Amino acid sequence: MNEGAASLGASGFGVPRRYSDLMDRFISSVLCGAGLSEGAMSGKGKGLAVLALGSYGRRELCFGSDVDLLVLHQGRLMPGSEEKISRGLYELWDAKLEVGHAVMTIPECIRLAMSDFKVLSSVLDARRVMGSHEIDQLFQTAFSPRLDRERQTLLRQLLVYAQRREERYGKEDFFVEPDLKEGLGGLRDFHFMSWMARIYFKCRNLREIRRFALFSHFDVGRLTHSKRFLLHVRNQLHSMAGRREDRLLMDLQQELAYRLGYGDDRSLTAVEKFMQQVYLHLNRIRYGYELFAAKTLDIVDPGPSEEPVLEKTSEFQVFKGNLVLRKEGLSEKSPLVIMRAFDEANRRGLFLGSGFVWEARKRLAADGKALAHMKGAKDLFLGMILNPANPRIIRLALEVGLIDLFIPEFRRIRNLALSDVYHVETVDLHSLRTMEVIAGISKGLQDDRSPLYRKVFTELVHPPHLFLAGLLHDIGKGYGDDHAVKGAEMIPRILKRLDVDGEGARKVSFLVTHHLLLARISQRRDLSDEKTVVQVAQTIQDRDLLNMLFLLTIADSLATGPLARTDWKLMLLTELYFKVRKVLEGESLATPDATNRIESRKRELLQALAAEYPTSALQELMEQVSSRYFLIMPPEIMTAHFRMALNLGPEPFSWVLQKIEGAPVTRMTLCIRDRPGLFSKMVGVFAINNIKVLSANIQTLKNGLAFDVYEVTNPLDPFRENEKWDQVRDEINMVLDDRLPLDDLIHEKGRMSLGAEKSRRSRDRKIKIENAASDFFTVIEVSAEERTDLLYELAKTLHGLGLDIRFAKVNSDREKMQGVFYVRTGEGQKVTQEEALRAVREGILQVFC
Amino acid sequence: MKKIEAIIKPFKLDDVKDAILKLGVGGITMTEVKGFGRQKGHKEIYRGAEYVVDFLPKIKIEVVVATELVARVVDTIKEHAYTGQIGDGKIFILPVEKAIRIRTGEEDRDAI
Repeated sequence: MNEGAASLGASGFGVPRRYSDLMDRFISSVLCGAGLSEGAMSGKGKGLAVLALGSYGRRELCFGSDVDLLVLHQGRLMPGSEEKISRGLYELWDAKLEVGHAVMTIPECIRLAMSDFKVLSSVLDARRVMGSHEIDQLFQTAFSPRLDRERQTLLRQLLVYAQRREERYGKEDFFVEPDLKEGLGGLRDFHFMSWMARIYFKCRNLREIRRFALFSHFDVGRLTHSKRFLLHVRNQLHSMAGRREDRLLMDLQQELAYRLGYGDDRSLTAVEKFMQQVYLHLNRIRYGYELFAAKTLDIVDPGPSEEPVLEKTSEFQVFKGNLVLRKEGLSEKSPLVIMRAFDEANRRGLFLGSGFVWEARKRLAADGKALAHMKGAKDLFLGMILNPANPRIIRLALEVGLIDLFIPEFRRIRNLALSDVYHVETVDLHSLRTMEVIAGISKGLQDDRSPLYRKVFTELVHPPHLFLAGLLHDIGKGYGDDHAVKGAEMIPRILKRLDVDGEGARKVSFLVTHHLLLARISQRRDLSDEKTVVQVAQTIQDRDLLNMLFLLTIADSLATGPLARTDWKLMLLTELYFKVRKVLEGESLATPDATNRIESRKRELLQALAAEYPTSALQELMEQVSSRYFLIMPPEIMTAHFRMALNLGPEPFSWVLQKIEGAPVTRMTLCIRDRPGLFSKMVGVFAINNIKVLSANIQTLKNGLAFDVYEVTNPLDPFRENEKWDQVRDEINMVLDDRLPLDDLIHEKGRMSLGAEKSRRSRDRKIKIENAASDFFTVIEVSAEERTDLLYELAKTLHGLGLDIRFAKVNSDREKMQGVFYVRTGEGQKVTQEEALRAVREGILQVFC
Repeated sequence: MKKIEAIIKPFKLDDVKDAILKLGVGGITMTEVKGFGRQKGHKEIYRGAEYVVDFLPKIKIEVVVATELVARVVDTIKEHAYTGQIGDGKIFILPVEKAIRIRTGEEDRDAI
């Protein structure tokens, strides 16, 4: 395979074709050598024809592709032919080709094709390589009428197949590592169009479709160019991977980008530029395929037509569900008609006729600038964008360049995908989807997830500002810097151009600047720490802005992808929202006189437990607990802790487990005899039991007990949760007695991990040490690629540096771990000394290696 | 090179086989086996008849693949063999010292 690549040169779109031609010659010579010469195969009555099928038939052979051959014959096979064919095949196999083969008569072949869709699709692209022309002709003349006769059945099969592909490849993991052949927008989409053109329009070649009136504007040329690009990339991918690999795996993307000639620069890396091109072509083919399929379906299987009828005075009318001009000629009218058409289609939930779209695209290319400055144009544009009722129309507006016209900054984020496993769409589509989600929230589509979102939406003073923020929140991406900051810089200019008033501009600007704030704080800070909430409240200050920021964050998360919108993350966001709201409404957490609140909490606790325990015992226990405990712990947790402490006998610990509603999380309220390094030991035991720590809250008492709260993922096996917790309990007991070789177990687990082969992406590593985030603690934020033992090692290291961990929040998934630790020195102080800070940083860096 | 052994439910054979072939594994061996796990004694319906026995029919699939493919093959088997009910099976990964193709004498990479 590699010799093939070398001899043809690694560049140029024509490689698959030349490789196919080379393969033709090779196969001919091998088969001739086995005794199947052209002469021997073409005799009358004893003919054999060797046909290439599938991608080989299409002349799109890539270096790792299967070589599918069909040997067709008439009547009975000549004696000796079978042996010769076998001999030929053996040679092909030994040449390391992935050969698929079948030997059949023409009727057998047609019967099989009609009964199995996979066979049919392969045979539709059959091409004679060598042998009897006569047999080939006979085959074609028998096949075509059969196709025609059964075209309705075939339509159903095509649709089923297409549906299955969408279900399978529409899933989000296929976005980050697109499958160039089977994925949405991949080569298969193009094949589908060719097959449909062949079956329904009798076109041997997709280009011929333009003969038909309804397809006269279909841009086959552009689609063909995109296909050839993807084919070229696929070929390089095969060559690089050394096998038939159709998925652009993340690990291969970078090398492939360099191979294809893309280079890094300040704003975009080579991978980002390369993938932008890939997505551009994938999106183009997908979009073209959707239009093609819709039109074909219309013709072949038209539904009942219930057209909405517009007023006679309207300049538009509805034809087959699409808006078109009532009187011909967009070219004679003012380009403002285009704006009005989009606006009308948006409001009525219609699409636009393709002829109109084609003309509009041309007109915009020619007169776009003039249109943008026309009176009323901006209003129409804003009217549509700020009330995005019809997502297809908004998408169309993007495709024809309408959005770029009024917001040129949008061009930068077209088809842009940043190297990030969380986003499942390119930035431009993600922005549109964020708006779509917001619209969905307002219509109640997210009520199942949480009715709160719609409630908050109804409180908004001026919803269009939120939509604008949704559209523009990532406009700053692609410049290499912090995109929130960059975006904020760009917003005033964009909004001024759109004539958005000062007040609106201020609000949208604020939203874009801070669109990551709530997510960041809720995932990386102790929400029961007053200072956290107060700082956020001070930044936002205004309840309407809070509502908008909350909804923007929710919509952004929902539109990003499954890793960003876990139930847990959404719950944290909601918790932060309520807390900030309370502060803004004056019911603040931060009354200057915290002492009063502590006292009242203590009183409530006494009352709750007075029936079960003597007051003196309760009060004595309260003396052991820091005041802060009473401020941050909810009452039910305090009562649980106190009960456990007062009931604790000789056993080292006691816990209460509670499953959290709304997320796959268990809360463990723990009362345990404290000891040095306890936190890391707990983390270790969880780790070897495949339980992830999401947050930990540690309160040590003067009497040597600890009141902890852990929030962890549920055990993996829902049928055996109790057994698993029993095992955890046993192992904690063992580790407290030093009877468990925790280090060894964790390292063994890490070593056995399947992910060990993945390349480590060290540029994702970050360490941040902040003393301003909390009044009592130093906050250490750590970010690195995920590893089984990472949290354990970090905890051990911090402990080894003499630090007390009082609170931790961890966010980890397949790729990344983000942890935040609230720590104090052994003396109960923040870490402020330069030397100490340096030691912490170095200690953590050691863990990374 | 590693050998991946998977014990799966019989009706999942085609699904799993098709899926891992797409990944580019060279060949597969399949055996009909009987087995049970922690649920011994649990009732399970198999082809319409109720069995209350320890040994249940399963399919064992064996493939030998290059080390860099292991994670993906395992993920694929997991995904396609999953039903969420008791008895979905297990996957084991073993190291392979050597592989030889009988007909040609090729070894290791070229043999798989």
